[in-house]
Amino acid sequence: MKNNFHKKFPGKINYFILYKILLLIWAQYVILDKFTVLSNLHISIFHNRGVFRLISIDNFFDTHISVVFLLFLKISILAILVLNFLQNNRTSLLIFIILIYIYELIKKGFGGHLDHRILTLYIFTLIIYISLENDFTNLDDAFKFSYLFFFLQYFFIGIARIFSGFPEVFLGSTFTDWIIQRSLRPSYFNLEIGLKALEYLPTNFLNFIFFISTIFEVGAIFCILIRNKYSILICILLIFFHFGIYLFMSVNFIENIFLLLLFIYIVEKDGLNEKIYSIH
Amino acid sequence: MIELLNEYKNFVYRGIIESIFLIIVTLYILKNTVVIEKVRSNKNSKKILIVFILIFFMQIFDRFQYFYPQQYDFYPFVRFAMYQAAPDGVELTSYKICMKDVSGNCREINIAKEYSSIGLPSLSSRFNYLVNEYPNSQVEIKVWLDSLKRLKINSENKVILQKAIFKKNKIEYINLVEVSFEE
Repeated sequence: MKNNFHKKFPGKINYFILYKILLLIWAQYVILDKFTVLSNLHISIFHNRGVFRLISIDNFFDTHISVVFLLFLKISILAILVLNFLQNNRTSLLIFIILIYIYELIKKGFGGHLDHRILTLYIFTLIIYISLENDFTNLDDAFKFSYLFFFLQYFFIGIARIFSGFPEVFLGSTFTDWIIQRSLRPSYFNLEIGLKALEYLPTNFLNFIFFISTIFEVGAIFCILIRNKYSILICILLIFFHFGIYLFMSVNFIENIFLLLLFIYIVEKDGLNEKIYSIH
Repeated sequence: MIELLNEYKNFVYRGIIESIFLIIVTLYILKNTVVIEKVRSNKNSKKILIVFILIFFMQIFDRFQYFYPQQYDFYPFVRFAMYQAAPDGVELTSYKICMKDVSGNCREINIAKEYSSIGLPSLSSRFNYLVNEYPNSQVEIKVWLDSLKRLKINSENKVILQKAIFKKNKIEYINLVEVSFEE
C-alpha cells in the first residue's frame, strides 16, 4: 500500500507518518486525561445530551458512572488507536471517532459543553475519515481538506468577534476584564501571569495585541491561499497566540499547536498552497 | 427565545450582517480558487460538501445562542461560546472551594485540577452558572461538594463553595453553600 501511494503521489512527504502523528496527538490527549475521576460525581448532575437523550445514562448506572466502565472506555480508545497505528483501516478509524464521541459526551454531561481544545482535532479527524478512500491512497488530499476546515474555524471565530464587538470590544476593558476573570477562576496551574501583566502593561497596549490577534485569526484563511512563506508566518503567529492564551488565561490549545506545526511541515516540504488551493 | 432576541437586538443584527458576509466570502473563495475542483475530484466529494455545508451553517447559527446552559446544540461540531464577546460583557466573578478545619483555616481545593478531564472552559461555564443561579442551584452545588469529601485531610470538617467578586482591585468572598462531613 505504501509503495502504491508513492507511485500515485510522488511528493516529498510520507503522509502515512503524518497520519501516525495525528494518532499520537490523540493518544497524548487520552493518556494524560484523568477520565476515571468522573466516577466520583453523582449521576444526578449529569446532563443527558446527544445519544444520551435517547438512552439516558441513568438506565446503566444507579448513582455514579462506574470507574470500571470509564476505564474500559479509555482503554478501548487507546486500543483502537494502537490498531489504527499498526494498520490503515477506515473502519477502525470510524470506531475510534464514535468512541471519542461517547467519551467527550460523558465529559460534556458533567461540564456542559465540549472543551475548546478537542473540537478542532475532532473535526480534523472526521474530515480525514470522510475524505479518505478505503486504501488510504488519497491521504494527502484528506489532510488538505482537513486543513481547509481547520483554518476556516479560525476565520469564523475572528470574524465573529469583529462583527459582534467592533470597535468597543477592542477599546474598552473587555480584554483586561477577560484576563482578570480567567486569572481569578481556578485553573490547572492557577497561573497568575495575566494579573501580573495587567500591573505592568497599559490597557491600550493589551487591546492592540487583542486586535492584532483577532486579525491573525481572520487572516488564518489565507494560510491555504497565499504564498508559503507568508502562510508559515501566520501559523507561527497563531502558535504564539495560543501560548499567549495559555499564559494569560490558562486555556490549553496544545492540539491546535500540534496541528499548526504539522501544517508548517507540510507547507515547507510539499508546497501545499501552490498545489492545492491556488487562486485562479 | 423571542424575548432574548428582542433584548439583544443589536447582537442579532450584527449576527445577521456577519452571516451574510461569511456566505459571500465563502462563495468567493469557492468560486475563485481551486478548492471546489479539488473536492470534486475526491470520490467522497458529496459527503465532504455535505459536512462543509452543515458545519458552516452550524457555526453561523451558534452565534445566536450564547446563553448557557444550551438545551440544544451542535455537539460535536460547535462548542458553546465559540464566538467570544458576550452581549452582556465579561463578568468579573469567580468561585473558590475551601476545605475548612475546626479552627476555620481554609485549604483551597482546585476544582479545575481535580476535574481537569471535563476541561477548563466547560467546568468554568458550569460553575459560573451554578454561582449565578444560587440559591436555585444549591442542590447541585452540594452534590459537587459531596464529591470532594474524599480529599479531606486531618481535622477538616467541611467544604464550602464561595463566590468571588472582583471590585476595585480587591476580591470579596461570599460563602454560598457548605457541606459538613458529619452529614
